[in-house]
Amino acid sequence: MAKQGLVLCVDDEPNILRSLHWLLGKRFDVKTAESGQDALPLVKEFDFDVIISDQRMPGMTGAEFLREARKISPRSMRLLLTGYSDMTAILRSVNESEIYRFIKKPWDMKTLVTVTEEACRIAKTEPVPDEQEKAEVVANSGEAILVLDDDKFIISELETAVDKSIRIIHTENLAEAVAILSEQKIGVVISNTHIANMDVTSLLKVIKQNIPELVCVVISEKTDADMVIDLINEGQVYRFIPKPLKPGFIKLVLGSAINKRRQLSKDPGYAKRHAVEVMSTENVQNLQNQINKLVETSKASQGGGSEVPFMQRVAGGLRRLFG
Amino acid sequence: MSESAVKSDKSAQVEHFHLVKFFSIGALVMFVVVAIALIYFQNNQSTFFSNVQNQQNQNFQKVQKDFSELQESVARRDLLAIHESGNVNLTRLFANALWESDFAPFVAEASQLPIQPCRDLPSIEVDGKKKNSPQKSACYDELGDAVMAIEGFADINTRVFESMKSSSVLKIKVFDTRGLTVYSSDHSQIGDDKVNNAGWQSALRGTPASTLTHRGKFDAFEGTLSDRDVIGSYQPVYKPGTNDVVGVFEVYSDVTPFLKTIQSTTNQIQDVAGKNQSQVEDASVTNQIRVEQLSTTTIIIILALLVLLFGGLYLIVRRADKILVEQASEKEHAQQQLAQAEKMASLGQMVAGVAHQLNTPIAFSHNNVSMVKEGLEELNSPLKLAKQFANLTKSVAADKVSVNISKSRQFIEEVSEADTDTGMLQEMLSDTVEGLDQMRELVENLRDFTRLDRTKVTSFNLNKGLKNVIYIARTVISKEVEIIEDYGDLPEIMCNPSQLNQVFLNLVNNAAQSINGAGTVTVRSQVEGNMVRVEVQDSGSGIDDEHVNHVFENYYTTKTEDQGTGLGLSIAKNIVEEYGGKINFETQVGVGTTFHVVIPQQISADKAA
Repeated sequence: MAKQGLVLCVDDEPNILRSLHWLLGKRFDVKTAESGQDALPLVKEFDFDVIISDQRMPGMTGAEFLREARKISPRSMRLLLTGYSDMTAILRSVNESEIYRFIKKPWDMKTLVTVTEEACRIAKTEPVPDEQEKAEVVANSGEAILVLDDDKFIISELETAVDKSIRIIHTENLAEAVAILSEQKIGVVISNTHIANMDVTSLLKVIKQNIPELVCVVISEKTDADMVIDLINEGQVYRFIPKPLKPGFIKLVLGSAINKRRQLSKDPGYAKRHAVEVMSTENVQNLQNQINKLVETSKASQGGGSEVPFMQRVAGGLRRLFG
Repeated sequence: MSESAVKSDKSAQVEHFHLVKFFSIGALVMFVVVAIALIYFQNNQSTFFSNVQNQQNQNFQKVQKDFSELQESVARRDLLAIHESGNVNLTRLFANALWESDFAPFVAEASQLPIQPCRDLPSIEVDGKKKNSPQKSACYDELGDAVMAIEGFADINTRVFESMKSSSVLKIKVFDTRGLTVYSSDHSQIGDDKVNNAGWQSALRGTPASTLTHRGKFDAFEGTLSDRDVIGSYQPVYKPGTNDVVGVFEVYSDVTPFLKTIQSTTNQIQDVAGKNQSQVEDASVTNQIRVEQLSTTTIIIILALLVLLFGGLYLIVRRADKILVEQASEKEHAQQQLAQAEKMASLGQMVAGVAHQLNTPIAFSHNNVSMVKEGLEELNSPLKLAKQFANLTKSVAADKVSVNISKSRQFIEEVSEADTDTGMLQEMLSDTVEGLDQMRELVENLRDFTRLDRTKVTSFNLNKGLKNVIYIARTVISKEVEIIEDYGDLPEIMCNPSQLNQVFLNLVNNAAQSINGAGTVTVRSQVEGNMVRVEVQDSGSGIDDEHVNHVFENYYTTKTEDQGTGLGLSIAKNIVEEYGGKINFETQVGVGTTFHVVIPQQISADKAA
């Protein structure tokens, strides 16, 4: 049987490495290393399709290793194995290594194989964007930034961060956001994880699933490891930034996000590198119910005339998102 | 639980200051001393007052006495002066009335009578006093007779008696310049020699002299009087128109009634003085009683106030004591809660670490077993083939068997080399067994770490505890941190292993957390005299000067909320000190920190309990 790709496994536990080798060896060419330091020369030497690394290793953490590996081999898809929910490590891996998936230990055999296959396919077939970051922040013409947050500080920071040519649309309503997404050309979404105790993450995941070339930045005071992992795996969030924000920081993040958006919009293949796990139908159903409820309440509060256009707007958005 | 046992034991160890008891005894003693002192001074004051009053009474008495005496003597002096001047006038009267016409020739004649012969007669001494001898007295008597024999004596006598009758004058005597008594209304005295009489001598020199005397018997004009006060005055008689004294009059006047008046006045004054005195004394007695009553009242009031004060203070102190006791128990309660909170925090960390530690063997064991299961499924068809072949050969007696494989060729071709590689399956399973061993080791360590928690005090080798602690600690701390174990031979000590484990786990965790990136934590144990010493040394960042003095304080931490509660070292210190041990550290910024724990080998059971 022809092997589907070249995979590098890095873990300080030899048992894990052997186990991964046995699991993946049938379908892929597998190389192993017991530490990040040992693995980097291999990354230079071989052209790996997929790199799987454990997070917690002596000497160099998985996130650090993947960051270095990304520099050497940008086309390799990066998977991080985590057992221990070390939040800082997870955030660093999101923001610095732009990893494709988190794999929780202990992993599910079939899922790991599937994810690795998928990653191999993407690595082999999809183009690699030019990683050179532009010094100048120029948005695609006519594209706006959608902000889903009730934090005034973020809004004011954003407004001072970008020049006037970039429109910022602000809403605190999920249904409204859905409508805006269908009507306007949105390039970047900046969102909290929760607005008024309502979970926004499902919406972000659905958006990414249906509009893969959209770039999502999440800014939140809630830093739950599992939530972040889900946002990466199912939402391919571009950056996750914990609150409180340092002043000026958002400008850097936004600049990088806009550049990313430009890359993604150039070639739809780029976006495939950020393909997401399909959300469970149950979660999708929940989200739809939530949005419908929001539409109901806004209908009740507004009353009379304007309700029909709003419903139509949201329905348009829903069609676009859920098909 | 052992925790509460330790706490209650600890409270028993603490020497409570019995505030109420000490206050009651101390204050009572002081109050009694104050009360005695007050009573003493009050009594002194009352005695002093009584003395002052007595003195005043005496002074007053003396003043009154002096006053009445002075008054009497002044009255007598005045009396004397008045009578003397009266007598002077009287003498002048006599001199004017009788001297020229009657006495002058008479005296001149009497002066011719010789006195010297009588004077020359010797005197006798009776009881130390000079007295005239009988011959001398007889001589003077003869001289008197001679005077009375002078012509005109009877006339003079008559006229003197007429002049003096019904006057205060009792007696008149006349002397010549030699001292001879030439006349006396008491005739027996005529002829007496007065030359040695001080009064006569004074009068002869021109100065009248008077004396007040009391006489039991007195011969006066009216006859013999008894019990009289008389003033006798010697008065010079001058020759008219000259300053020549020609004779001396002696006039006796009766002042008995005056003296009686004076006496009665004095008596009255003394009466009044006596009354005054007794009034003053009465007043002083009353005052004394009043003062004493007042002082008794004062003492009673002061005593009552002291009792009130004591009572008030007692209540305050008792309340304060109650509050102190409450605060102490609250503090103790808070301490217990702190200890519990710290335990929960480190337990949380431990659970997370353990979960992670379990994750790795679970991950590869699960994966391996799943793969072995799949591998076994793939062995199904080769095994079926083998079974069919075996059945076939059993049914045939011959050594050579021809098999028609046309039907099963497809099957046979499916059997690949990999599918029959049972060696790999065995490797997978032996890795799995290894994984299970890792899990068992962890569980055993966990059991050691927690099982001992239930037994309070037991004989325990600290090295075993340290190994256990480090095993547990490794689950949480970074893999970049190397832990070096260097154990000396230690005797077993009686202790509560759970508590000491908590201390060392805390020290090892702290040591590991102080290391940013790679580094080493060295744990040493050794015997030092009758103590056991454990050192936890790290190559971490060290402790900044600003924190050095706060290391053992409650809630003092430089860690983030999820890393530490700020209670660990404070509790560690409590535990070590409860064992009669010591905990201290040395640190150097950038080089690392070493914590030293020294625990006595012999820990008395009650302390360890």
